[in-house]
Amino acid sequence: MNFPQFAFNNVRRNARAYIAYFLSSSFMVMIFFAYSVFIYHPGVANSEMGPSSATSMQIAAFIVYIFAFFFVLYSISSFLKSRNLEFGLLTILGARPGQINKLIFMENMLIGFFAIVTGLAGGMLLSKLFLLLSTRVIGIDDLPFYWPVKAILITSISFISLFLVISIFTLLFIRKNRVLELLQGNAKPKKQPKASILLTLLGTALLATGFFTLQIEIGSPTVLLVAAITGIAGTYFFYSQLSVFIVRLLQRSRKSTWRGTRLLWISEMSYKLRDNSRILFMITVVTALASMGAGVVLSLNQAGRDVYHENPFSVNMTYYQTPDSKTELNRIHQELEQAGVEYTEIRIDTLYSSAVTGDGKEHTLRLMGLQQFNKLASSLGLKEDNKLGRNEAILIDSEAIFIDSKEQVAADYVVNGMVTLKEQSAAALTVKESLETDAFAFFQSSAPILVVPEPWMDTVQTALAAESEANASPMIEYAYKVPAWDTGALPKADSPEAIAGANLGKWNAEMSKKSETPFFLTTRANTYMLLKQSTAMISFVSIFVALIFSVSSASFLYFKLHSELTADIRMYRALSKIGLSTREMSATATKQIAVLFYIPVFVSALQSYVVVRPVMSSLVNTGVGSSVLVTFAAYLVLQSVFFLIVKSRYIWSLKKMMV
Amino acid sequence: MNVLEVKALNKVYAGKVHTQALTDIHLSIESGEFVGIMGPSGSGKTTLLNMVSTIDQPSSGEVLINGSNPYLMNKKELALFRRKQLGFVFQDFNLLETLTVAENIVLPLTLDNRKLSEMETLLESVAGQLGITDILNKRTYEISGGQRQRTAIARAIITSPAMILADEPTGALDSNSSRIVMESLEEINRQAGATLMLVTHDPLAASYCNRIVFIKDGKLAAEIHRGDNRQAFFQKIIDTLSFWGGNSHELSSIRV
Repeated sequence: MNFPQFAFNNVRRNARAYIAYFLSSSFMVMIFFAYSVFIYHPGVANSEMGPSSATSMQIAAFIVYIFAFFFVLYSISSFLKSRNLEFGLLTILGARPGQINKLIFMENMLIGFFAIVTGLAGGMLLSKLFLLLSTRVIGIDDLPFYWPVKAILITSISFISLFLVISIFTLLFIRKNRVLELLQGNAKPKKQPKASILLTLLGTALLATGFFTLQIEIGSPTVLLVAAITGIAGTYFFYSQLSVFIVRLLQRSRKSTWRGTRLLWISEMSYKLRDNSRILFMITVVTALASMGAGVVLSLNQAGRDVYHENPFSVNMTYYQTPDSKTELNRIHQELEQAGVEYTEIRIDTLYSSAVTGDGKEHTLRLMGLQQFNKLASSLGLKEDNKLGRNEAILIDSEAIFIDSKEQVAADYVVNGMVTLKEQSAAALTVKESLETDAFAFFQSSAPILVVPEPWMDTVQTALAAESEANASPMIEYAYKVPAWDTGALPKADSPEAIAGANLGKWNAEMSKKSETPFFLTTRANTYMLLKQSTAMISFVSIFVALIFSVSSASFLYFKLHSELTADIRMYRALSKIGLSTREMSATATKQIAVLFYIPVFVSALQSYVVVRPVMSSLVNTGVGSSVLVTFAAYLVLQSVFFLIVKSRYIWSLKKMMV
Repeated sequence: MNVLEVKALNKVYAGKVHTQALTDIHLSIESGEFVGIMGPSGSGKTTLLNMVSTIDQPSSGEVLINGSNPYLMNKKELALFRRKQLGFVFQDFNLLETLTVAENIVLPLTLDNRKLSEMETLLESVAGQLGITDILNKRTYEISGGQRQRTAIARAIITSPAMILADEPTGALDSNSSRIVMESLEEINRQAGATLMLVTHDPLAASYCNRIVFIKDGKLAAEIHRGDNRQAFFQKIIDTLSFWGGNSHELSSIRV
């Protein structure tokens, strides 16, 4: 028997020991492959949504790859630890360190090779399902199954290099010179976990810094970066130091720990937390990231629905300048008639103007005549029959997309309740009324609107014309109200409004591609559908990533528990002899496993809530908190399913050994 | 009064190889007695101990501990029964590495949710009795084998059980530690009047008992009583062993 044969037989006859490591590697290959099949699918590249989906899929695949690296690395390091005795024996029998290195290297490559082969095979099956699901979610036509040569190549090359790097890396794990230590293997007593006061303080300080930077100022990338780095580093110290520290503090009080099974599980806990701190840390960070993404997506969805509902007009056509002809409008009429609906056309003229303040700063405003405003008011759900004095105006501001910035802006140009326009700086307008409404959200610009008496419109237009001819023409907005489509329900992909919207959107894109058009056409249905599709994509990807993490972290924890099972069985068997009942054993073990499974979920829930709340409330005025909660509720359910499976299997194997 | 009453006990391991592990065993241990069980390997000592420990079911016959039959109880009652009525000392200590010495000792009490003050008083008294007060806050891997076994003894006696069962308690110890451990057991038997049942190979350890029952091939073979002199008793044990055991290798493990 030569050396490669020895390595091969070692794997083959020791299959039970290798199976966990093998399965986890193969699982990772499978997921990565399924993604690649989608990304390089010829049908995806050619479709409309394709390129952008593929990009986000590529990002997801990259994350899977990074995670696969650490996952395989951790699996192998815990796997090698359990084989210390074997390496000790080989050393005693006279194997050189080089030979043991060679053995481990060959074993790893062998397992890696089979993992890739089985992963590709499994991925073939999975990708069929994946293609079906993803096309359904993204809303493109069904993709046929194809022979994914490129995906196979990319997956094999990526993972072969991954196993190569890891195989070389793992050689550093084993200290082959200490034979006795190797021989004692896992029988060696576990040292009590110790927390360094300094690192504990550092961890606390990092977490506090991350928390407070988010409270003080938000929005700027530097702050977010600082918060992210301190938060992630702080989380690491939370698991490796703070948790041990907290458990030790707990143990100091006999009153709280010397009760029932607490004595057992609290002390076991500190070992389990310390041993798994790295994997717990990773699960927390990635869970937090995935759910932050999902939370943002969910609240964007909500915002998209709001925008649709707030817009009373089905179609909006904006001319930046007064058009020469209105042939484009015919296209709209044609589309609406084709859909067979009644509609009313409303023309809105506005002028761009600027408010000036004492310090010489200018703020863009849109002027609208009073008559125009009164005509619009009923369809916008605003008060009709507004009257204004000669120098009075109504200020309409949007309901704050940017809460923080809005206050500054409004206070900036309204001085003592007066607005001075640049074009007519001799007289000032008194702001008679100030409205805050999103009714004008369908306008192409977010500049505040100033409703002024008609003479003012003429004066400003003359002043603008004097400055330059081009600026003088008013901006004209044609809005189409279609009563048949104002049902209050959201459009579906096959509803008439969405079809008409899609047609008009396509036409608008074609026109603007051909030449520089002086108009811009939007339909609320198309805007909504596009947002829905893109968020569906992001949520699909983030849900998939979260799912993978949930599955693989659960399986990782299970394998970790499984590798400690022999020791735990011994312990519980001895304890059962001295009178630990099966129920007490089950309570102890359940609590330990529960902490391992649920701590990352709760820590990451807290983290993403802390992060997402201030960041998002500055962007979108919707309930982000609830979105994050929904995401976590879903994650919690999933994690609970895994917890119950792992728990019952673990306790079942312990129960068998109880006397 | 008899703490342990074993009547017509039989144990058969069914299967492809039918094994009659114990045949018609009668044994009774009185309160305050220190009884040793000896016999060659495979004689059925451990099987008997398992029956008495309530962790294995007899095929026929009866075991009564303090008048009650543990084999009529369900699993939960049985666990409680072991916790309250029996104390265990094992060859490999079975202490938890994750706990300190003190925590290991009070473990059975915490499972019963006893009061903290009560636990601390009991801990202090058993630790004093076994001379391990100084190491109470140490971890089990920081102390010697003898200290570990004394910790295990402390854990066994802290619940004041009806009977203490010791399975080769000196099997993993050096001679000096063995002596200290056996003296500790003798001490708790004499001072506190604890009832002990000891299963051992080691004639020297057995010489601390009041009475020794010999088992061979699953049957009771002989019984000897100790007089005043431990040295003479030790010689008697050796004689009995060589008579009943017959094989010289039984003597090879003797450490004098």
